[in-house]
Amino acid sequence: MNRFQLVQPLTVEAAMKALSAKGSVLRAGGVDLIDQQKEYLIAPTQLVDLRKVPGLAQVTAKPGHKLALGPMATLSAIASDAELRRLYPAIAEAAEAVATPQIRRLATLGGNLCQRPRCWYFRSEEFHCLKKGGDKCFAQEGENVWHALFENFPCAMVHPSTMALPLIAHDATIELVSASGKRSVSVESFFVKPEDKLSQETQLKPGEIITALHAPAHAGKSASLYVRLKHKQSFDWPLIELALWGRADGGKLADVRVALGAVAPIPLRAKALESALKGLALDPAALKAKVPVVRKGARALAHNGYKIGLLETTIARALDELVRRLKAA
Amino acid sequence: MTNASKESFRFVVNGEPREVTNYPLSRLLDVLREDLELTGTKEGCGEGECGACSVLIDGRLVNSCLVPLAQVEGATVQTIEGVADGERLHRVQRAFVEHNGAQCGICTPGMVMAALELLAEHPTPTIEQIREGLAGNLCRCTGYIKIFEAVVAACQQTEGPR
Ligand SMILES: Cc1cc2nc3c(=O)[nH]c(=O)nc-3n(C[C@H](O)[C@H](O)[C@H](O)COP(=O)(O)OP(=O)(O)OC[C@H]3O[C@@H](n4cnc5c(N)ncnc54)[C@H](O)[C@@H]3O)c2cc1C
Ligand code: SF4
Ligand code: FES
Ligand code: FES
Repeated sequence: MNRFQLVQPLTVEAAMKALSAKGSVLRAGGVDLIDQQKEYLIAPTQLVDLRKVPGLAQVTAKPGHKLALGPMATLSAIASDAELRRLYPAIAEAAEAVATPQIRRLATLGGNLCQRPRCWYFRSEEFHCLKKGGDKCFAQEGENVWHALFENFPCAMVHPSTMALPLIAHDATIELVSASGKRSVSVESFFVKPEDKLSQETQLKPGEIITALHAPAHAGKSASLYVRLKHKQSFDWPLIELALWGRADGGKLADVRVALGAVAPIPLRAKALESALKGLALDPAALKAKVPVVRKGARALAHNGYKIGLLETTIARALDELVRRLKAA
Repeated sequence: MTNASKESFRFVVNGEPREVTNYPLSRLLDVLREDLELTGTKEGCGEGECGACSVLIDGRLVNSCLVPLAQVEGATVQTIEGVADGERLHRVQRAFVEHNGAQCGICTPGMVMAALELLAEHPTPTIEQIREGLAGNLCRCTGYIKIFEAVVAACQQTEGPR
């Protein structure tokens, strides 16, 4: 596994050039890549390490300014930035909830968004599933206890990125560069559904590099949060996770965004629920009465029906907390 | 296909400058255990889940199974071998001995390294901070309570330079 080239470019331009060589793969913290290589999901001939490119690890949260995050910011740097936590709490809380202290030191924001699925069939060399170019999704009829409730056909993976959720809730965008120029896309539209593209989870093009992430300046009377429900008390992947952002105006929930994780092949924005919540009084009971709207479109598989109840409970608890935070804002 | 060749890397391990010639993407865990014969650092899972391979790089706790050799060029690495002062155990190690914080011992080096970083960051940690500080280290034997007690005891012990 060690017999390939590691290059450490010093500029984004040099990284783009190195990445254009056949068999090249970008490396950030390397946490997901090492696993992908071990499971023979990829066999790169050259790893292009971004760690020596300066300026890609910023965490810049200031009142009155838009938020700027670098793709190489580690999750521990994101979790420990006090201004970020004050202005964009969901982002800091999500970073703190990922994996273990050791992993958060290495794992980066860009790598977190681009990590590959954790579906056990996908990660096992023995199963050549639909996503890997085979002709069958083994999860449909097989062991699907961790799999998706929504949009789960033809592939029932759940998207693993925790960081996507608070970024979607905060309406963030991703800046991308490649040899053909720059573009910027919303974090929400960065992720693609299996029915649109099976072989990858994002709209990243070959050779493209994430260079920055931005979110709108903190608005007055707004609040956000991230919550996860998991199997074990110590570190664990989530059964359900979500990020919630809301803005209050005249005692009402004037605007709200809800991003759900561990329930779909993409970080899922709960738009029907958002519409049902928008404009309601900041009254937990009134808001929680709308939670069942989220069920629309759910299709439970043999072993994951329990997620529907968990999802509703998690949203209800999150709404309580959102109201508490909005009233304090 | 480009075949990588071995290269020389220099870094400081437990206070001593060392030079290792190996593939840039060799795991630090293997370099420590095989090239430098520092076998105190253990391998549990090899994928970041168990913390048995934890070491400090420039004072920060990481999984050495996930760090390639090239990443430590110029860095300072501390392993379990560098924790005691000669024969004199560090107060964290003494607390593990006194509170039966180890059974088979495979997780112990990683636990001690995690506790060291915890104490460096929070000299008087809360119970919550201790839980969080050890959250990346698994133990199959002790049920965690003895380990937890050992770390709590080490935190309360203030006498002595270490
Ligand atoms: C025990 C354990 C528990 C975990 N729990 C969670 C969890 O709860 N939630 C969660 O979200 N994750 C979890 N993870 C996954 C972990 O967070 C990711 O593996 C990590 O964030 C990947 O980041 P990295 O910097 O190491 O990426 P790398 O492994 O370096 O890269 C991953 C992918 O991203 C691409 N990439 C990286 N940077 C860029 C860039 N700037 N532009 C374009 N492409 C890029 C790489 O080419 C590669 O394809 C867990 C992992 C472990 C081992
Ligand atoms: S859920 Fe997706 S990744 Fe998992 S087996 Fe089915 S096709 Fe493959
Ligand atoms: S061996 Fe490195 S975390 Fe388990
Ligand atoms: S003492 Fe055996 S794994 Fe912890």
